[in-house]
Amino acid sequence: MNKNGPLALVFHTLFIVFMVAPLAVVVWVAFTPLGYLQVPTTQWSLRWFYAIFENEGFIESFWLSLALGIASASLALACAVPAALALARYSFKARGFLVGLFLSPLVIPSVVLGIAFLRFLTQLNITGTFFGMALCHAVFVMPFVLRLALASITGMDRSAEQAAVSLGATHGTTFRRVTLPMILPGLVGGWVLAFITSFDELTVTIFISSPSTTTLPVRLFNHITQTTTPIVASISAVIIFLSVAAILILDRLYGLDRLLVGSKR
Amino acid sequence: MSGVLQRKAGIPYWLSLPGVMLFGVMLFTPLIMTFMLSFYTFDFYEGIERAFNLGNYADVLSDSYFYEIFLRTFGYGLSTTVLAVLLGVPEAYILNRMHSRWRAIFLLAIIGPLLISVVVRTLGWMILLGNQGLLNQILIGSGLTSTPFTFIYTDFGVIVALTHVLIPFMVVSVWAVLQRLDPQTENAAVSLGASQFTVFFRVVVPQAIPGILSGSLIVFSLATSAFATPAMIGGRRLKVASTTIYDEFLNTLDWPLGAAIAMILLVAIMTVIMSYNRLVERRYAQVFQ
Amino acid sequence: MSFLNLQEISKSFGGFVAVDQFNLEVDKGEFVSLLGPSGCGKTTTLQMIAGFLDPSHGQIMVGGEDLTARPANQRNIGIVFQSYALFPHLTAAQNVAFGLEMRKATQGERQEKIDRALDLVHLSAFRDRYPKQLSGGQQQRVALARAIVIEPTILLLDEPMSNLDAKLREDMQLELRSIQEKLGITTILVTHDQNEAMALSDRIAVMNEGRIVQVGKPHEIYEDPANVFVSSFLGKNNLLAVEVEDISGSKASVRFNGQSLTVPCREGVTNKEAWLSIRPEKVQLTDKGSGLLEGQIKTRVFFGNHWLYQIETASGEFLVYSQNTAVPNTAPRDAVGLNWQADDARLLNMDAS
Repeated sequence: MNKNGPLALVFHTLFIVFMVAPLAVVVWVAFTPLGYLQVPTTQWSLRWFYAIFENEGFIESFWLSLALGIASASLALACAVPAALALARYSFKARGFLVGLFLSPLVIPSVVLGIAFLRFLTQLNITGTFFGMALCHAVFVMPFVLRLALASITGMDRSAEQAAVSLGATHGTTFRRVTLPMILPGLVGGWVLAFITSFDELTVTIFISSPSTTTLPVRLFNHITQTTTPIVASISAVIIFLSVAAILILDRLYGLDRLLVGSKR
Repeated sequence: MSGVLQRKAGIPYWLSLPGVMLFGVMLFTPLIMTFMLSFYTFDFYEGIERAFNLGNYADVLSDSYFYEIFLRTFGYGLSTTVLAVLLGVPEAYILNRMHSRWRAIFLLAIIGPLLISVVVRTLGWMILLGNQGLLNQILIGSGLTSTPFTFIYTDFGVIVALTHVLIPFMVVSVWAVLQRLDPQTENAAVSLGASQFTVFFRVVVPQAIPGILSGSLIVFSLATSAFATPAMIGGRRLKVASTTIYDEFLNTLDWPLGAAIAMILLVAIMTVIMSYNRLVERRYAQVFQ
Repeated sequence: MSFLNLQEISKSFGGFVAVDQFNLEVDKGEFVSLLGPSGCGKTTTLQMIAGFLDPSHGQIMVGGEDLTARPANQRNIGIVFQSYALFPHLTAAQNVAFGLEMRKATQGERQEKIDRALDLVHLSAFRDRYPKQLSGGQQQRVALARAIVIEPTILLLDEPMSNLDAKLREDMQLELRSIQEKLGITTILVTHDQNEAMALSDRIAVMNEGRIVQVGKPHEIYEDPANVFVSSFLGKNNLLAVEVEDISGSKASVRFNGQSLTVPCREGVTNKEAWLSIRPEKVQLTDKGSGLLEGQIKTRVFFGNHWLYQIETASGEFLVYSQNTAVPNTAPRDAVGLNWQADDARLLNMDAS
C-alpha cells in the first residue's frame, strides 16, 4: 500500500472537517441555553431537548414520518420483488423499458415529481391523506428497493434452486425455503434504504402534505424558514443521532459503500 | 406445447404487474396531467381554466426575470460540479491509498451524511455561515476582520452548501472506479521516473475519467433540481427554478405557470443528461468497456 | 436391459445444436463419465437427465420407466453441483435434511438417515456448521451427503472437483469412488479432466461438439483411441504423417522415412495419408542411427518420477517420457535415435472424425 504524502493528509483532514463540521455544529448548538441559534461556549443546557417533548407538532410529525416510511418502503418492496424476479430471470420484450420506468424517479427532478403528485392527488381529492402520501413515497423509493433486489437476485447461485428441485421441492417450496432466504439480506437492505429515503424526504412531500399531515422534514423546514429558535437544532441533533445509529448498523450488516455505490443515484 | 410456451411468456409481465400499476397510476398519469396543466390558463380572479395555449411557455421564455432564474440555476449546477470535481477527485484518490481500516472509517464519514436529511445538513451551513455564525466568530476572534462577512443569502453560500450536500456522490463514483484499477500501473509510472504529481495527473486521473463523468452527471442534475439548500441559504432573493415553482404552486397559486417552468426544467435536465451520455459513450466507448 | 438408457437424445437452442443424437446405456451400479472440452454438450446432457432441460428429441429411460416428461422434482435423482449449491442459510445437517423433508420422512427416520449420511462423508462433527464455516472440501462432502441421503436412483456429478486444489482433489476422488462402490449407486460424472475421468470411471464417454466420439473402459480408450481428437484429449501423443501401403484386417503396413512398419489399425482408415500416433511413454531413446527416427534433443525437463524430452526430428517435434531410473547420459543438442514397438503405435485418420 502506498503512503499518502503530508500534503495529501492535510487536504484529507480539511476535507473531513468540511464534511463533518455542519453536522457537528448542529449538535453543538442544540446544547445552547440561549434563545437563538448560537454556539454555546461557557454554558450547556438540555433545555431545547426537553422542549421537543412539549412540542406536540414535532412529535406528531415524527410518528407520521415513521409510519409513512414503513408503509411506503413495504409497498415498494411488495412491487419490487416480483418485478426484480421478472427482470433478473426472464428476457422479454418490455424488459429494457420496465427497468427504465422503475428507475425513472431517480432522474426526474423532485420538484417535478412533487407538483405532479399534487396535481394528481388534488384531482382525486386525496391531498394530505396518509394513503395518498404513502403511494407517492412508494414511487420514489421504488428504485432503491428494486436495485438491491435485482442485485441480490442476479447475484445468487441458481444451482441452489436446482438442488432444491432435484431433492423433490415444488417451485413454491423452492421459492419459500431457498430463494427467499437467500435474497433476504438484499431485500432488508433495500427496505431500510427506502425507509430512510422516505423519512428524510422534503421536496416532494412539501407539495403533498397538509397542515394536519406534516412530515418531520417538512415541519423542520417550515420552522427554520420562519423562526430561529434552537429547537430546530435539537430536533436535527436527534435526527443525526438516529441516522448515525442506522448508518452504523447498515455498515456493519452490509457495508455502506456496497449499499450506496451505484444504489443511490 | 404452444400453450405452455405462451403461459411461460406471460410470467414476467404478471410479475411486473403490481409495479407497472403503481407507476402507471402514480407516476405516468400525474406527469401527463402536469404536462397538460402547463397549457392551462390562470387568472387571479377566475382561477385555473382548462385550455390549450402556449401562453405560459411564452411568458417564461420572454421574461428576463425567468432567464435570470434559469441562469442562476444552471450556474449553481455548474459551479457545484466543478467544485465537487476539484475537491472530490483528490479525496477519492487519497482514500484509495489509505489502509483499509482507516478508509472504512473515513468513507463512513463521507457517505454517511447521504442518509441524513438535507434539511439538517443545510441547517448546519446556516449556523456556520450566518452573520453571527461560527465562521464569522472565528474570523473576528482571530483578528482577520472586524466586520462580519456576508455568506448567507449569497451565491457563495449556496454553492458551498450544495457542494457539501452532493460531493459524496462524486467521491463514491470516482472511488468505485479507482478501486478497480491495477495499483501496479502507478508503480510502473514511478519506476519509469514519474513524480507523485505526474502519476496523479497522467496515470490516475485519465483512468478515473469514467467515474468523474458519472459523478459529474449526478452532481449536476441534483444541484440544478435542488430545493432545500437554495431555499434555506439563498432565501427569497436568490431564486432558482425549483424554489420558483414552489412559490407559483403554494403562494401565487398560478399552477399552470409553475407547471410550465417545471416542464422546461425537466426538459433542460433531460437534454443535458442525454447529450452528456451520448458524448461520453462516443468518446470513451473504445477505451473503457 | 440396461438401467439408465439415453435414446437418441438431442437438444438445440434456436439454431445451435448442443447435443446431437446422444445414445448411452448405463448398467445399474456403473460409474460412467461424460468427458469432453467445454461446450461439448456434456453439461447439457446432465441437465436433461436431471430434468432441468427438456430434450428436443429422444427418451430418457430409468429402470424401464420413461422419465422424459417427468418434472425434475419427481425424478429422485441426486446431484452434486460444481458450485456445491449448498443452502447458505441452513446448517450442514439441515442441508442434508432438506430432501428428506420433501419426502415427508418421519422425525426418527430423518435423524437416522442424516446421521448415516454425515458419517459416511466423515462430517458428523460439523453437522451444525453453516456452509460459510466449512472449507471447500467439507462443503463438497455436505453436497454429496445431501445428494445420496435421498437414496436416489441415479447420482449426477457436475464437475464436482473443479474447485478443489490438486492434493485435496486426489483424496476426494478416492473417497468418492469408495462411497459409490459401497452404495452401489449408478453414477454419471461430467468432467473435462481426463485424469479424473480415468481414475473414477468404469467407462468413459468422450464427447465433442454435441456427439459421443467413443465409449469404453478408460484403459481401452487410452490405448486404442478412435481418432486424433480422443488420442490428444486423453493424454499427450506424437503424430507422425505416414503413407498407407496396405491394410489387411486390423493390421496395416505403413511407410515413413524410407522404411516400412506393420502397425495395429482401427476400422475406417481408408486414406492414403494417415497419422501414426505414439504415446510419449512408449518411445525409447536409443543411440544415434539405431532407431526408427533420428533427432536432436531440444530440451530436457525433470518431473520427479520421469524426464520429459522435446526432440527435434525431420518429421516434426516428438515428446518422450522416460522413467527416472538412473541419471541420464544425454544432454541437450545431442543427436539421438527414437524407437518404439510397432504394436504400441496406432494408425488414425487425418481428419478428426
